[in-house]
Amino acid sequence: MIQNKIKNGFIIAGLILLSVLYCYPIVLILINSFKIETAISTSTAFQLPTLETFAGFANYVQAIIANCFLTSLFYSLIITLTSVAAILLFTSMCAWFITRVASKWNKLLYYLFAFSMVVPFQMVMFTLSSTADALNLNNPFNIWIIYLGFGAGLAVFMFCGFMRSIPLEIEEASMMDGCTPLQTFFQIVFPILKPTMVSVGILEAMWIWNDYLLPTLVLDIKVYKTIPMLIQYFRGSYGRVEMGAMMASIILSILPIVLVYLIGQKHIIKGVTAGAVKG
Amino acid sequence: MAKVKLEHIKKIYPNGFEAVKDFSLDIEDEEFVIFVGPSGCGKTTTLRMIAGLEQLSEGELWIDEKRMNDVEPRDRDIAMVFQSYALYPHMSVYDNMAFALKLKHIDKKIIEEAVMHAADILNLKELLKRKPSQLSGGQRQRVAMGRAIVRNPKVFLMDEPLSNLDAKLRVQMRSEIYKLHQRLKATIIYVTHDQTEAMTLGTRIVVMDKGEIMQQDTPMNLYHRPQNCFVAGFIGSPQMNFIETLCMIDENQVYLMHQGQSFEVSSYLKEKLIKGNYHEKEVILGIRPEDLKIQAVSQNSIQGKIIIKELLGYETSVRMAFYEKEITAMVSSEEVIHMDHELKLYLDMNHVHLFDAQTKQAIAHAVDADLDVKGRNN
Repeated sequence: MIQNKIKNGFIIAGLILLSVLYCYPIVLILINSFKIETAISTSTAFQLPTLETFAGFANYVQAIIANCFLTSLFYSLIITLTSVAAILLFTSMCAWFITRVASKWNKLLYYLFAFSMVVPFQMVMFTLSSTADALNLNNPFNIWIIYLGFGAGLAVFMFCGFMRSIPLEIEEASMMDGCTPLQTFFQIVFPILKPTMVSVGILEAMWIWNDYLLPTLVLDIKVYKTIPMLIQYFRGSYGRVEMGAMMASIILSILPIVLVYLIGQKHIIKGVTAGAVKG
Repeated sequence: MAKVKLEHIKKIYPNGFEAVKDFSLDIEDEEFVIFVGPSGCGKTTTLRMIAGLEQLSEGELWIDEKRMNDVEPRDRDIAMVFQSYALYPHMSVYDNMAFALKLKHIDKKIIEEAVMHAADILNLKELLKRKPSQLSGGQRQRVAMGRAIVRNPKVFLMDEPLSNLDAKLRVQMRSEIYKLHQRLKATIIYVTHDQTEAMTLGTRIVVMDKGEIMQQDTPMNLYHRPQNCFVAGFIGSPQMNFIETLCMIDENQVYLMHQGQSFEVSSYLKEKLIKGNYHEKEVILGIRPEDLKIQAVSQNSIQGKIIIKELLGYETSVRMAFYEKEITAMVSSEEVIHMDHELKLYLDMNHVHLFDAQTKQAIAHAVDADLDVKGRNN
């Protein structure tokens, strides 16, 4: 009993330490986003804003108005929403086919998807950027096709895991009830996949929302800037950095994804572990 | 409701395994047909072929004079109750039952009437808003039945619908299904491995083994007139005892010999054995445990040591060693029986069955003697 309490104490202390480590950069950025530009320096980074150094929402206003934050927010939203929607729709259908139609080709397809998860992005990025230019994928409205390709591996892998735990009889019952294959998918399978949909959606959304490298390589930086690209843009030229506006932008960029995560977090664990144990 | 006709149906899987071999069956309108047999005998595969969930490798399937081989399951107008119920987990009980009708774009009022009618029959009215996960096994089973009833299909298919229920609920639901058949007058094809379900529910039972029909008949005939050793052993619990004997015919006297012990058969069986020329041939003598009696008669009796006794309430199942075999008898629980003691059992020769040891096919059943006499008099 006492041993258990000591053990639990250590675990809790460890977890508190970890959460402090995770939270500290965010707190650091949050504090400094309310300071005036001249008060942001390495030596005073952890100081709370004083009457002299408190900037109010000036940095946020500058980030939103002067630096076209809303335009970048629009591009980031468009890219994230279209990509996640495409990934969820196409990969769930693909996983349904792989798990329900038994053939050696489908097995091979499944392993190819799984393999795509371990291919480093750097290996394909240069050929990708020229292909994207050639196929007119170099704008926020078409880039989802590239994200679909890169996000499919993990999504198919997770959907297949969950799909195997759905009894085939449910789909057969829907066929007997009069469903066409598409109706079976959209009216029966799709709603049952909800927990995995949410977890795959959040994981993919977090990655796409925060992605810097792919849009930088593919998009025309002068025309289209996503939020991570905009934040980098604050560094400006000749080493000048607009620290206050940059901090404010980072906080603003974190908010939507934190919100999405908080809403859907209970489904993440459900989705990730689904199919692992017999329900 | 409809007639179902299966003509020389076969199911051969790509690996060459023949799950169903030359299966032919005519199912009449309003019949309650049971497919029964051990695991892997092909009964569920046959049912799935009727449903359209499995392709036929050979043969033809007709429902109401319409060839169904290439018709999609959704167009066959068949409802199926699955072993696991297969309810849609994200839908309420009402939506589960209404789903098929909604797909047909039927008027909402008519759907509601149909669902309420089925819910009324199955006592589901108070559960209509619940999700399947909030229901007990028995309730889920009733919802699965309700989903089938709402559609008013030509044929009901049921794949071991009671096997996931506990023993008490199973008995209760069994009588519910029986009442449902009486009420709906539907054509039902029911798969089970439980012979009690088969005997109590079916108007006709199809006994299957290794993909073949071993016998199809009424429950009474299957019990009293099994056509072969398999059916004789499969139908009836505890199963029939088989004693391998040698038939000796000597000037119109017929004896069945086993380890030096002889059994004298009735005149009807005697006639059948003489006609079939079974002299010095091996004949299997089958006798049900309930036809073995504890009686002080020396003729046609067997003696052995009791090895197991199981009190079942009204009766006691006694297993005794008889040479290298084990013989089971059902005796009154009032009989005083001691383990390891010798027991003498009398074989009621008016209820024995004789089988050809080579073909395992029935030669004659002692119970047919009366019919034979009546037939001759007529």
